[in-house]
Amino acid sequence: MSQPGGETAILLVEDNEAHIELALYAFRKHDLAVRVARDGEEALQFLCDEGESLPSLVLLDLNLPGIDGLEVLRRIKADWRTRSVPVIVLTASEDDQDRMESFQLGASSYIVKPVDLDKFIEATRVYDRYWRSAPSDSENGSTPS
Amino acid sequence: MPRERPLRTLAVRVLPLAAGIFIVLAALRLSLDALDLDHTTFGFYASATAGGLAAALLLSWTGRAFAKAAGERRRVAEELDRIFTLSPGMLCIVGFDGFFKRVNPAFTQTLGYTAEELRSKHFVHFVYPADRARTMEVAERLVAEGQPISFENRYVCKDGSPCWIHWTATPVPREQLIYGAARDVTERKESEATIRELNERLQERVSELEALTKELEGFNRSASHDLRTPLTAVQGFVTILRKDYVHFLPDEGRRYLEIVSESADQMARLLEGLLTLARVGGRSLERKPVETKALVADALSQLSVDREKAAVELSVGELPQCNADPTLLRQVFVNLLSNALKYSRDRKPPRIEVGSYENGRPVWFVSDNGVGFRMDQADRLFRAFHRLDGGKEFEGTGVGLALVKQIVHRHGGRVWAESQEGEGATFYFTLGEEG
Repeated sequence: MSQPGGETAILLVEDNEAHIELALYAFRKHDLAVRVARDGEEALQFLCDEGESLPSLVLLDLNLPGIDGLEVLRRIKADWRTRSVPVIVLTASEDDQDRMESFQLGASSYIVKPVDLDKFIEATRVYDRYWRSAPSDSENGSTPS
Repeated sequence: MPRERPLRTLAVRVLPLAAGIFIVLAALRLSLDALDLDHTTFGFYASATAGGLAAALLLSWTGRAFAKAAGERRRVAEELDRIFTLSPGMLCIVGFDGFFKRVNPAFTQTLGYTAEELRSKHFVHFVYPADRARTMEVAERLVAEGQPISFENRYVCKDGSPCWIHWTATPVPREQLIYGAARDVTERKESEATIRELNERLQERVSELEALTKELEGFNRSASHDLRTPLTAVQGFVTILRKDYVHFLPDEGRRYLEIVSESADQMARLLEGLLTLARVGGRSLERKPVETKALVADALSQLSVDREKAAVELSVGELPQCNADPTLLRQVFVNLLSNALKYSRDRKPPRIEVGSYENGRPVWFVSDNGVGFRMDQADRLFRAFHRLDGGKEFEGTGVGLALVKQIVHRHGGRVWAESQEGEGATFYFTLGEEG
């Protein structure tokens, strides 16, 4: 599902329809473009699709069908094309192990649901703005060392 | 009993007798000289008569002495025999050849064999097959070392049942005999076996319960996560409805929306409580020396806002150092203190006391002058999600005291409470042997 075309969208990786609906409502309200992937495979496919521009931010649930969230995060950070995209883990898990592993794998932030939607959107805006003002390594054509 | 010495008795009697005879003979000799009789003939007869008399007397005395000694020996033997026969303990004499020489009635009664049956075969024949090798080793050691030994083995009774016997055996190499005193310890052994079996079963049950508790904690954890996902959605949409759509709703609809909102929030708090319990249950205990006074000060600082708002009169007594998990113990004090604050906030002024006393080991307490509770409800206080006030008067999820109990129990301690309704409450706890 893609939102306003052309713009760099936020990628929401979430399998729960109610949560997707909630996020879409909030992002729409704040005029942010969102693209939804309902499992890890779909998310990785989108990120690696040459035809698509990279999202400004990935919001990643950990509890996903198929490839789980931590594995998706690991693969995003292992691929030189996608590693520069900030990933915010958005999960119901308060497990310290999950939190630690997420940061070790390169997550920018770890947010436990439920979240105050407005505050959350404001936080994602910061990442979104940062991304727009500072073109990523991949866009500059740099290669991994 | 004085020992009989016939030879000494004889000597004691012979010496005065011999002296007496010589004195008589000498007197006679002097008298006869005066009478002028035939000295030689008279002397001969007199000597012979005196000698005969003396010999007869000596024989008689010696015979009596020997008869008395023999009687004494017989009496002692009979006495020993009677003791041997009447002894309730099992007694036996075994030759170095391995055959019973003598057994007492207690021995035959315990094993069920007659004395003849026992004497007819090598003793090892009566030993429980699994214990034979070990018993032979002990017997060989007894013969070789000549020292008394205590040991236990099983015999097979005549009815085929095994019988545990505790032995004290003393070898007498000079006589080539072993004297044995024994007692039937089958009951004790069976009790020990039963206790061992019960302990093993108890251990199994404990392991099962531990596994079950772990499973339940795991279930708690995943259930509260799984429940939180839809609940988060409910709370999210309720927020959207309240912010963006509330003006479309009639008053009744708004009221219902508020109820949905409150219920969802309450459920979130309950789930949070469940998760907290599960987290503490799954956390490993890290004991270290803790300055309780500093820990209480720390816990109080966390509650400072509530404390100042309620203008509490606080007193903290002497608190000894302890050995506990500081994070968890801090949680205990935070929960007890916030509980005390909550239930005494309507008092003018609220009073809270933290202290300890020694009762074999330290007992810590937190008391307040709050609403208290009825003592018949004391055991329900520590149940998770159980609220004595039904949750109407005082906020909370009913997890705080359950958590206190869980933490104290994990330290091997005990927690209890005393109160009178309307008179305040005191919560006590200990921290187990290591605390």
